Amino acid sequence: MTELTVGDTPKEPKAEATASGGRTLRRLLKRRSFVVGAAGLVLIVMIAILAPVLAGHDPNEQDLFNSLVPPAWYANGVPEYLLGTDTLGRDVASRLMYGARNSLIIATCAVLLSAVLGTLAGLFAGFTGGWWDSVIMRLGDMQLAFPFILLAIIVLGVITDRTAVHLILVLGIPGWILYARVVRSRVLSERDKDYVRAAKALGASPLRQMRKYVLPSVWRVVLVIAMLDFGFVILVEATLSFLGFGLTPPTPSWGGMLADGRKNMIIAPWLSILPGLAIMVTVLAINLTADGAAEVLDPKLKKGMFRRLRRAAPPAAQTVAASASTPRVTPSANRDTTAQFLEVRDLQVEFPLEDRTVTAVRQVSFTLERGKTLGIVGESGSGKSVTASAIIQLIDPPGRVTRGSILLEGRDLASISNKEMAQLRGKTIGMIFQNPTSSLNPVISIGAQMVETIRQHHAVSAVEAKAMATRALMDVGIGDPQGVLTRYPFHLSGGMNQRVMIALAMIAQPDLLIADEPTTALDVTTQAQILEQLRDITQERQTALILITHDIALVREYADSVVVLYAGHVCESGPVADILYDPKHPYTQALIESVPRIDLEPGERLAAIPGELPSASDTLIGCPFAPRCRHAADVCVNIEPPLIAVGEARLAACHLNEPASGHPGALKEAVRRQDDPAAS
Amino acid sequence: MTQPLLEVRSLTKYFNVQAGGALGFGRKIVRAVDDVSFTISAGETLGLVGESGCGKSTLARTILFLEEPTSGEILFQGQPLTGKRVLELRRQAQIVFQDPYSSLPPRMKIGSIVGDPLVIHGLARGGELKDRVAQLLEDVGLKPNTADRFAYELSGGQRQRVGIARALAVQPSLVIADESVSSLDVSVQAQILNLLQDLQQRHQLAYLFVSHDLGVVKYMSHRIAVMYLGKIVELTTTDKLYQQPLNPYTRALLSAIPKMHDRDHRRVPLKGEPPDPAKPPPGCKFHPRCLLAQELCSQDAPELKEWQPGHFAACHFALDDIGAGSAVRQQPAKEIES
Repeated sequence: MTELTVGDTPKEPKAEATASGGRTLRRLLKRRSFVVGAAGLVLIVMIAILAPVLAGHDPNEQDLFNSLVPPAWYANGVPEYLLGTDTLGRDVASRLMYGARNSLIIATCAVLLSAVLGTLAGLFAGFTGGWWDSVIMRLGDMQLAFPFILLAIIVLGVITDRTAVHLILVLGIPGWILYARVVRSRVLSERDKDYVRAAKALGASPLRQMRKYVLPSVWRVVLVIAMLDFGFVILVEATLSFLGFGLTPPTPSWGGMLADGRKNMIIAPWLSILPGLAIMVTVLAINLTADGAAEVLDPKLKKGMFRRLRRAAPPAAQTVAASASTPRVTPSANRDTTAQFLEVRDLQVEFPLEDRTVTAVRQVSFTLERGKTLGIVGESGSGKSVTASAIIQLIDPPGRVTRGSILLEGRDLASISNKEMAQLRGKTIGMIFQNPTSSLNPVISIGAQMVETIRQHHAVSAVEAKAMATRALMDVGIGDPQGVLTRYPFHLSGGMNQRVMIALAMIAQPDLLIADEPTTALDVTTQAQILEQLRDITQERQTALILITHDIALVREYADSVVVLYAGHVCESGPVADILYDPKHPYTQALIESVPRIDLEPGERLAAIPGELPSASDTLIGCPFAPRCRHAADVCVNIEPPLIAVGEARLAACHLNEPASGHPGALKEAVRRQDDPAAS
Repeated sequence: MTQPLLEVRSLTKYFNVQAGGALGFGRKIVRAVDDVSFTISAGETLGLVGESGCGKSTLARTILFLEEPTSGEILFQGQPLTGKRVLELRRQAQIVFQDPYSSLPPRMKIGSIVGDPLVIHGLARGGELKDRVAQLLEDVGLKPNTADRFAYELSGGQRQRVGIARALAVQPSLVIADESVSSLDVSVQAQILNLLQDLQQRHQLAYLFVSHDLGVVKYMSHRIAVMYLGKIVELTTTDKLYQQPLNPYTRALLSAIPKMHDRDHRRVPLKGEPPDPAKPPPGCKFHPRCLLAQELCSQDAPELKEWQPGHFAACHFALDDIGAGSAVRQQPAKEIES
């Protein structure tokens, strides 16, 4: 059996990396708000638990001879009553501790009750849907329409002997809706995911689907809400006690103590300040903990604002240093550059992360003339999109160009100012993205969007802009431009939207158009139409097109030259026909062979490339393709092959092409050529 | 002929979609699957191709009762499937989804993802369960210790292998691959295709292989059904389909594929855009875009008819040349691929 075994190269955990417990805890401990909050909360909980040990007095023990004794730090305070006594001579410190106990127990139980009820209701409503869903959710709406505190007062008012259980029920039951709503919406989104469908296809009962598959994806959000709710319930409990609807006196509670103290605000301010402080500190600690935990347990991207970073250092010194340190031949750099419309030289883009720097692309060089199309081919992580973003200078932060230059008619885009770059974007360089629907504003009509974009770049009236939009739509083969202008993106098919995007990009008549997987989301028939249009536009207007794609056959058909990228490295570049018929890099060859073409002979087996794509975190010393390459030798693992000239306008980075590399295959080839001069 | 493993008879699946209006006004019916019939024999791969929105994924799901069929019959091993036999079906027919990211539960370990079907059907427990899971993982080219991982630790290709292992756990006789390789990188896609072929040989599996990629479908399938707007418009063996497509839509589809070795091949142009599935044109649903369309096509929907032995097509003019009389193309259909 030649089936390769994969599975022992752990990939870089992405956004979902919260699943393992230890990791989550470590990330939590990195957040200061969480650490401070959690420390405070632990302290308060410890005090509450240890109240019987710590408290010097029974909280209800009255000592009328020592009433209104001030805290110990006052002139007439006594150490025995550290925080003073109240009107009945009860020890405030002990009462606060027992109050914490009551408060925390009631709040914890109430939150648990709401969370369990709410989660069950939400799961049920979301999973069953239909009639049950409506009934449950309308019930919740009704409850939310009725003021909760009023309801609590009414219910608690009729109970004469209020115990903790009463409070828990009153505080806990109405809280369900908070959880139910969130859980339901999460279940609705999870329910339509393929893994739940798969569970159904496997024969899992609805209960099992819910418990085993959906619940684990949902409980984290419940945890976060519960923590936030916890603080709220403590406040409400205190409010109720303050209003006299809390635990029946003399049971200590913070709200009750606050209410008592209010009467002696002037002569004994500590009686109200201390329980007030206790409430505040507790709720603050809970909220800090909850906020910190929410960010880790339920990360809703905390991305920085977009900021374009110019190249780190002056380019000249670096390019010199680079070419001096690595002796490589870059014919494009040596040639007369004035003729080239776009020239990218030794481009390197890095993403500095917390603990390391990821080099997304390195040593990318190519040139492009007007009227021509350059294809950039690569798989995920190859750096093809980063290269495109670098040209239009829209690299996602914190990425930046750290080396090399991007010369557009002699101007280095990597070092010009933001203002200059902004003027170039759209006007000189246009870009089309993979997903047209997400690039268009869904609530504005196509016409309005086009007119607005046109008027941003051209000083024309709205009427003229509309005429321009109509022409542009006709140019991209839309038969009914007037009709399309009045419609909204969701009215149109993906192919239509992509045509609108192309029309938008073309209005400014950019000299360079970058199309990043422009047809990946579209059907083959539409793909052919759109790419043919792009090709026609490029030739007619003598503009240049960069076509970024994973599909090497597309490049074959629509591009003049091609750059093949793998894991951020250039494998090979040159004219399309040469490269696809005579690849000089094993990756290019493997890529061509592994695509199931329709002209494949029946019974012919696909030459799959073994192994997996390297992840950004892998550090590779030698050739990045070496672990998967059928020609790999020792030299490939240890030394990165330089990009060398392998023919007319062709570059390739493979030791097989250098007789002196020490690669056995290269030596054999050299010997063969010597024996047979006709072969070379 | 022996009894087919799966037989689908006049299967339809309609969806009600709200079209803008509140309170149920303007409700429309989308015929996602419209009177579809075909068979799959044991060990055979039937390819199902079509462009997005043609109903191929809905068809795949409806066969597994993941969507309730609106009407029609599904026979498994000659027996019609009804509510009670669905659980039995779930042991015989499985599905591998497109997106390797959303098709695995994010919070479960790979071992229990693959093992759960065995638990559900009471096929193994305890140590035996562990062994079976390890065996399944090895079967799809994963190391047994993958069982202790979470899905997010794996690459797309590895996840798709897990999805295949999960489908194979119950030892099904039919696996539906719903665009199972379309979201994988090219270099990984070939591995998975070869794996699916190996598994077919090893376990005598039948596949319903759903894809929009005609190259992939050709590589995988014995026979191919082409779908357009909920209907099968052509059904025949792979060779016949690629050598002599009868339906003009199939011809256009085939000519739209970028070719590696034939840069200047002639394209059969298509007019316009696919119509809104909620408002399909009358008559043949393809006629507004078809080069062969005549008046008959806009009035009368063609039935799927056997034009040549084993070659079914739904077209009034299946044997006509495209562009006969127009300047588009003069060669016979045979030479499309030459």
